[in-house]
Amino acid sequence: METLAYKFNIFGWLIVSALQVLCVFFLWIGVYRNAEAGVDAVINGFTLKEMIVYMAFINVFNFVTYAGNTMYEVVQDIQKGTIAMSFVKPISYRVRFIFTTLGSMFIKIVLLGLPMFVLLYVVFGALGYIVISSVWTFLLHLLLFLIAQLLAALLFDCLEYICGVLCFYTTAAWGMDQIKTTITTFLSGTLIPLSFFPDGFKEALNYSPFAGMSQNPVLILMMQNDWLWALERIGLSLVWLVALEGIAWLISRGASRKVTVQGG
Amino acid sequence: MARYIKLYFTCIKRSIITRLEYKRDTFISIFNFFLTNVASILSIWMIMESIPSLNGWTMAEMGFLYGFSMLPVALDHIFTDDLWTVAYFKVRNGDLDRMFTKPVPVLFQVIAETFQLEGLGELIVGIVMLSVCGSMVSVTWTFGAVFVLIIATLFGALMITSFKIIFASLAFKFKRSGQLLQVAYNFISYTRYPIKIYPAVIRGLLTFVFPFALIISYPVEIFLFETYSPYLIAGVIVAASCALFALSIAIWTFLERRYESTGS
Repeated sequence: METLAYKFNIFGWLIVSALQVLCVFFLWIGVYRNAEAGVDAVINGFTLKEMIVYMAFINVFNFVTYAGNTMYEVVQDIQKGTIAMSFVKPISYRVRFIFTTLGSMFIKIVLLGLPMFVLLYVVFGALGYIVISSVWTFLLHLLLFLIAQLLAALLFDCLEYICGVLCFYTTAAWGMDQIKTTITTFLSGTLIPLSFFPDGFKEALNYSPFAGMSQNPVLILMMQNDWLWALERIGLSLVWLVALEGIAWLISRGASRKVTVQGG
Repeated sequence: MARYIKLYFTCIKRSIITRLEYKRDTFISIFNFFLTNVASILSIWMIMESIPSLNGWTMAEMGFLYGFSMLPVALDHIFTDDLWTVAYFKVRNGDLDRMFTKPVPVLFQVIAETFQLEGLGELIVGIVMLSVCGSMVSVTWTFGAVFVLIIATLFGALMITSFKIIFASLAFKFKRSGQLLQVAYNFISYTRYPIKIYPAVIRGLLTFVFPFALIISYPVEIFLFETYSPYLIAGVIVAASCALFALSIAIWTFLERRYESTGS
């Protein structure tokens, strides 16, 4: 419901973001025009058409993935002292956030994710930017994408939670939030696809949890690779999710032992 | 007026003392600033690596452009950073209410709230990038060009501040406008590429709607290619930023009168 309460924010954001995505498109068109092979060039595995589809999808799905407000809520709980209440509630503090995030993700999917996805798919399909070779491959990839997308949202929510809990140790919630945003947008392939990174980094980043937050779901949807690759990426995300939730559990246990409520 | 100046310096002193008290927080902020710029510069570099040149621009020229864009951004950052917190939290969690009880304009209090020391670092890095990249390319340091540089820095900062005031004041009506402010602010990053790579629509958008090209792209072209008359561009920058500033004050005052506390 939080998400619905700030609808203006969403629609204003949508318009300005749409303009920004337009800027991104033309930026890439400019870049490809300057490639040695011209607009038909394949740069780091992407044709211009693929790059435009990639940028469009990654912006839409980031909106869904980064739906939650977990870090803000955790920090608020710490700073206002309401965190004490959560220790007496019969539901786990962490689990509550997972469901809150899934809730706001659901709203964002219905309001925006799904309509935008259908619209973009039809437009790009009509323009010939997306080619569907067979219906079965498409459906299979769509299913795999949905799983990857769900994992992406859970991974990000876990990261938000970890950053929130880390604010037990530092009061610089604002700075932490900014650092988290900078790192995720850069390392998840939102600014530029990870294949643009120098050799070595590229491979390492592909195995990091960040790749699973933005880039991999979109690549699965774009059917650039076969379903085995998709399955491998999903497995990797799953492993990371378990690992990150473990870390989250450990540090929140440590933190709950030294709660210092700032005045309350 | 003298009272306000005295008051401002008192607030700033208090802000700096607070910052120095929380050393870890200050460190996190500085690290964040550093990270943000590294991510942006690396993205530009990785794109440049994948193509021979961008509309004839070399990496050194791109660095010059980037350094130039950092100056007004840094200046705005130093003085008005607290507008972000108004947009993101202060209205929503009721922190702003306390400012309405004091006999000084709220906007003044918001501006006087913080003096971002790390913005100074940004300013220094910007100047270093300007001089290093400037010495690598044939930059003409004429009197007119330097004049534009100073005008673009000072009035460019005023323009960025005006945008922040406009979008932050929307929080009076809609409780939260942080994300909206963020996307509007992000348009600055598209002026960090040569404006000629964009089609007329985007150039128009960056010149007339989010006119950050006025304070970054056109002045830089004076340095690199001597394309425009420096005094004409300086005049346009002054006129545009003063007009925007007046508009932003009007919008802020208008929405401030209709402010309703969230009651939390």
